[in-house]
Formats: sequence, C-alpha cells, structure tokens
Amino acid sequence: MRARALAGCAAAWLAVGLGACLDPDYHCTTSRDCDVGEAGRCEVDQRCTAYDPACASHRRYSDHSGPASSTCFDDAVAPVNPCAAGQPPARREGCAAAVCKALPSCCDTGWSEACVQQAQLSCSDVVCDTRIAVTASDSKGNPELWSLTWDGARWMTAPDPRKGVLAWLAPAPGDGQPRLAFAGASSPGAAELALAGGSLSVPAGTYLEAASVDFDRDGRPTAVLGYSDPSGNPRLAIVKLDDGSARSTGAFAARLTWGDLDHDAFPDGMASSLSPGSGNYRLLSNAEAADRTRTIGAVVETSMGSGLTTGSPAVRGFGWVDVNRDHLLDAIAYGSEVNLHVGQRLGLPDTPQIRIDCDPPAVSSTCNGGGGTASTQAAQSFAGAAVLEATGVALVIATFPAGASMEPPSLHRAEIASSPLAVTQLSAYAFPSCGAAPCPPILAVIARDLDGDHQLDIIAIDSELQVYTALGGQLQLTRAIKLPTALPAIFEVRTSVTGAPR
Amino acid sequence: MTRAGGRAPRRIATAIAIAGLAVATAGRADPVDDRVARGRRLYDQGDFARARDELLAAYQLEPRPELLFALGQVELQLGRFAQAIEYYQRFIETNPAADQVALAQQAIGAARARLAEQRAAPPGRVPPAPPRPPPEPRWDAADTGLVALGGAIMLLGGGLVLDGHHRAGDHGGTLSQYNDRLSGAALAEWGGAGCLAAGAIVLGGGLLRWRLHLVDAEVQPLAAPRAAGVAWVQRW
Repeated sequence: MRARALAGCAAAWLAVGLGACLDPDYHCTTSRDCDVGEAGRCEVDQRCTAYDPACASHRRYSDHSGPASSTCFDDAVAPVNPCAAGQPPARREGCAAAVCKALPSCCDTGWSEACVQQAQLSCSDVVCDTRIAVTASDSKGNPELWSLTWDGARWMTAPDPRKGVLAWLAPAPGDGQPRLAFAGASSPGAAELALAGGSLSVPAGTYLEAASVDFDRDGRPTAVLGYSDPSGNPRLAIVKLDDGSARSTGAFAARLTWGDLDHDAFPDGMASSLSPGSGNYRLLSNAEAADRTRTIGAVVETSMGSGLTTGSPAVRGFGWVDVNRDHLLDAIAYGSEVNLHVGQRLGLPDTPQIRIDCDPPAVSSTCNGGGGTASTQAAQSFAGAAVLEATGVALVIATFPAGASMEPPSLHRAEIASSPLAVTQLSAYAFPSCGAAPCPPILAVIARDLDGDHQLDIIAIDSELQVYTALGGQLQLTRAIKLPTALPAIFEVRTSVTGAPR
Repeated sequence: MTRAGGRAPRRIATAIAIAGLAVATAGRADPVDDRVARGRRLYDQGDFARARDELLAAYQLEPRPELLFALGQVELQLGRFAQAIEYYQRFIETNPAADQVALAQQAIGAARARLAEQRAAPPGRVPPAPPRPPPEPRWDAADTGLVALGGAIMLLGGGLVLDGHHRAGDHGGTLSQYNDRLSGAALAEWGGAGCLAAGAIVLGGGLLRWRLHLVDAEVQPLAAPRAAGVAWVQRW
C-alpha cells in the first residue's frame, strides 16, 4: 500500500514536472526581449517573432510561443468595424470573405477604403454611418477643420479650432469606433497627434496628412503622418499609437493614400509632390530596410503630363479601386489630369494606361486630338472619386477651372469599360440652382453608401463648403448641409472618411 | 508451545498479565511465593508435571486467580488441553482485567484447536507437534538502508523537478535567456525524473526485500521469579 502511494506520488511529480517542459510559453514586453533570430520583434500578442522571408508577413513566431510556435505571424483580424479603412487585413470570414473574393488585397495587405466600399456593396449586413474629417484651406494655406457626420438620418457638423490636419484613424484593435485625430502644432516648435483621451508627441513640422495603415504588418494601431519638417523637407512619420513610438523617413507625403502597388502583402502609398503646381506624384513602395524594419523604399515619380493649372494644387487626391475587375487594385490620381494606373500581376505600372483630361473629361488623346483649346485641354484641375458599381466602375470627376473665362465648374460621371479600358459613357450631374452665378467648383468627391441600399452614393464638397449628395446612379445633386466657413476663398479641401456600423 | 500473541498488542497484553501476577506476589516471603518460584524454575527446565504440582500446592495455600492462568499454561504444555481450558475459564470467572480476559480467551482458543486435533488423531498415536507459526517478513538494516537511500534519491529528484519547474515558469529576461533557462530546466526536470524513477526502484527494492525476507516466528516462554506466562516474540 505504501509502495503504491509512493509510486503514485512519483508519477504525479513526473507529470507535473515534464508538463512544464512540454509547454514552454514566453511572453515579451518589448522587442529588446526578442533576441533570438534575426530582427526579433515583440508582437501585439506578446509573442516574439523573427525575420523570415518565407512568410507573407516576413515574420515567424519564435520557439516557445505557445501554440503559435514556429508558425508564420499573421496579423489578420476579423474587423469589428468593416466601415473603417486603415485596419489590418481581414480574415476570410463572413462579409470579409465576400470582399476578399473580389479584392484579395483586403485579406492579404490591409483593409483599405476600397475594401469598405466593396463591403458596402457586397455585404447585406454592412450599413454604415459616414464620418468625414474636412481640412479646408485657402490659397495661403490657412486651414479650417470640420467634422461632418451622416448618421443615416441627418448631417451633423462640428468645427475644430485647431490649426493642422484633421483625420479619422482606424479603430483601436478590438474596438469598433474610429478615432478622430488632429495632427499639428501643439506649441511653437512642437507638434502633436491628438486623439480623444490623449495626445502623442510627434516630430515638429507642418502636418499635411494623417491616416491609419498597417504599415509594418504587425497588427498594432499605426498612423502615418505626412509633414514637412521645419526645414521644409517632406517627411513621413510612422507612429505607433499604442506606445507612442515614432520613426520618420524622407518621402513625399501630401495627399497620402494607401493601397497596394506590388502585392507583397505590405501596403504601399501614393502621394503628391509638395511643390505646388509641379504636377507630379509618386508611388511609394513599402520596402524592407537593412535592419528588416519597413520603410519607404523605391519611389517612382510620375508626371501629370503637360497639365499645369496655374494657381491650383496640381494633385487633388488619389483613389484605389479595381476598375477592370481583375481582382487587383488599380490606382487613380486626380490632378490636372485623371491618371489611371491599372494593376498588373507584377505590380502597378509606373505610367498610367489611361489619362483623362479636357472639359468635359475624355481620354486625353481623344480630346487633344479633337482640337480642343488649351484651356479645355490642360488648364483644368480635377477632383474625383471612383464609384464601385454592381457591374462596373464609374469615375465621378469634378472640374476646377482656373480662370473665369473658362467653362463653368462641372461634375461628370464617366462609366469605365474594363475590356478594353475606355470611357464608355459620360454624364453630367445637375447642380441645384446657384442663382445667376455659376455654382462654386467641387473640390472634393467621396463615394460611400449613405442610405443603406448597398449602392455607393456621391458626396461632393464645393469651395464654399456646401455639401451635396447624389444617391445611387442619380445625376441630380442635392444640397445636404453647408459648413459655415469663415475662410473667404477655399482653395483646397482634403477629406478623411470613415464610418461605423449603424 | 503455545502462541499467546502474534503482534505487539498481544505482547503487551501478555506482559500486563505477567506484571499483574508479579504485583500480586511482590513483597511477600511466604510459602506460596516459594512454591510459585519453584514452579517457574521447573517450568523453565521443561518439567511441566512438577511445575503443575508446585502451582497447585500454591493455589491450595492461597487461591490467587493468576495461578489459575499459570496452571492453564502448564496443562497446555502437558497436552492436557481440556484441563487447560478449564483453568483458563476459571481464571476468567475471577473477573480479571479486560486485557487478561482477552489473553485467556486466546489461550482457550488455542487449547480448543489443539484438543480438536487430538481428538481427530487415531487412537494410540502420539499427537503431532503443534504447527510452527508461519514465517514472518523480517525488517533489517539493509531494508532500512535501501528505503532511506531510495527516499533520499526521490527527494533529490523531486527537488530537481521542482527546480526545473520553477525555472521554466520564470518568464523574465530576454528570449535567449529564457531559452537558456528552459534548457537548464529541461535538464533538471529530466534528471529529476530519472532520480525519481531510480529512487522509486531502490525504495521499492527495499520494500520488496522486506516482504520476501521471511524468517521463522520465535516463541519464547516467559517466566519471572514472581510471575508466570508465555509470550510470542516476533523479531522486528
């Protein structure tokens, strides 16, 4: 009996002791803890990863990482809020599975605005409110900040007295609410990124853009800020919102938007040149630095061609959409031309396949060849947005005439045929009556589903901060709300869009 | 020979009975004591018949109850089991202490068993010698050493396992430090496991040796100058 008890006791000790050997589990607190393998990094789940190019994320969990040991790190999540862009890639579940069938990059690279639009079209359970952060500025660059919200029934506005840039950032991991952020000066010689509940110190400079993007593919809440440093050099700051750490790299960063250039599972950007009127923009490739951190690598500069619109910002924005439905993101640049870069398997071509110019907008070679005048061919600036439709894509293009002698401002809808790529039908939106004078030009166009019918609607903002809407495929603009701006002449409107399920 | 007890409590009971007899006769220098002393000497010499005569004479001089138990023992040695039973019963009727009653009842049981054997034997045949008690396991110094050694090895193994467990549970420091610590912990745990197994084998060997190391039980008659009785003494 005694021998049996002793044997049982010994067996229990063996089980307990050896059990500890079989299930080692290490949790890190900082990346300095992860000193095994190349370029160790402490992930958001407190496991260590090391560099491994065999993994899509270039990261593999180290040994002793519990059940994840030696597996590839994947920061994909089931988005709590599919209405907000800038989140890590989604897991192929539920609505995201349908979205990623159409746009694989939403599950491979990141949940971008193109993914939100696809979700609004494809997923019957996705009905979002619409939140727009508006940064308006006059020709001298004096900013005015507004928060504009459509809750499904009415528009609401809130001014922000600060001077900088206002943007919506993605929800914190596991949360559903997007975060309104301000980037700008906090005091002379200092700058901050302010969120509800606190602010982070960021490099001093003049801030132009702020957006969420899973730049490092680490699943941590990350904001990328475009700014010019006190010496006037364009730079890009990558800020980790969870611990406040920031690093910066030299890059053109105005009008920064994020998509996918090269299908390498890391989000890439497009940005305009800082120089007013240069007409150039750049494709910013997310690349690997020597120390295996991510940075802006190859920068390909692309020109808007001959288009120069005197006194207006040459590039008004970028958009990402799968124009030809080949499941690859295509990029559109809006400026003195509308340039369409059609994504290829090997990556986005440096030069656009389609250039749209002239007033009314048309494929550049057509309108140039049509004997248009200089004013109608080149001296225009375009704002716009791509509108994903059930069977195709339309581009909504606003013209911004440089001079009073030119054609009055207009807003057109161009249906794009995917094969061969061409503008098949051009329609003009009808403005509400603006009295005797022409309506002010549209400076910003946004495509979102406002009424929950799973068709993308149009939100347009003119130079007096009048907000128009046009539902579905309707070509009649309706005045929605006017922001009571104090700026006498608004020259530029930058928008940051997000939403939350409603 | 009679087995009056096989375990420590029985020895204790026997000792109590003897002590009672001794106390009853202590401090008296009378003919009864003299006869009891002679009876004991004769008993020791194996002359049970004369020992009975002396005890009977003593009882006639003074009917001490404990002499009835002693007479029962002597009759038992003489193979007169019915008489032995009678003495034991008479002893019980004197209302002795409970442990002495138990001892007497055990003796009655043994005597009855012997009587039954005697009656079953063919007439004229000499009754067989009473069976020897079964051999008993003997615990000796080697067993103690083996168990102590095995226990010590197991304690060492347990300590190593606990140490390894503790080290594996320490998640502080960097991953490489944790790896090193885990390697040491694994070594300690496996070493500890080996020690536990080895210790268990040694300890089990000691216990097995004890169980298999059987020796004959030893029965010793006890007789003191002022007491009479028997006890079975087991070697331990």
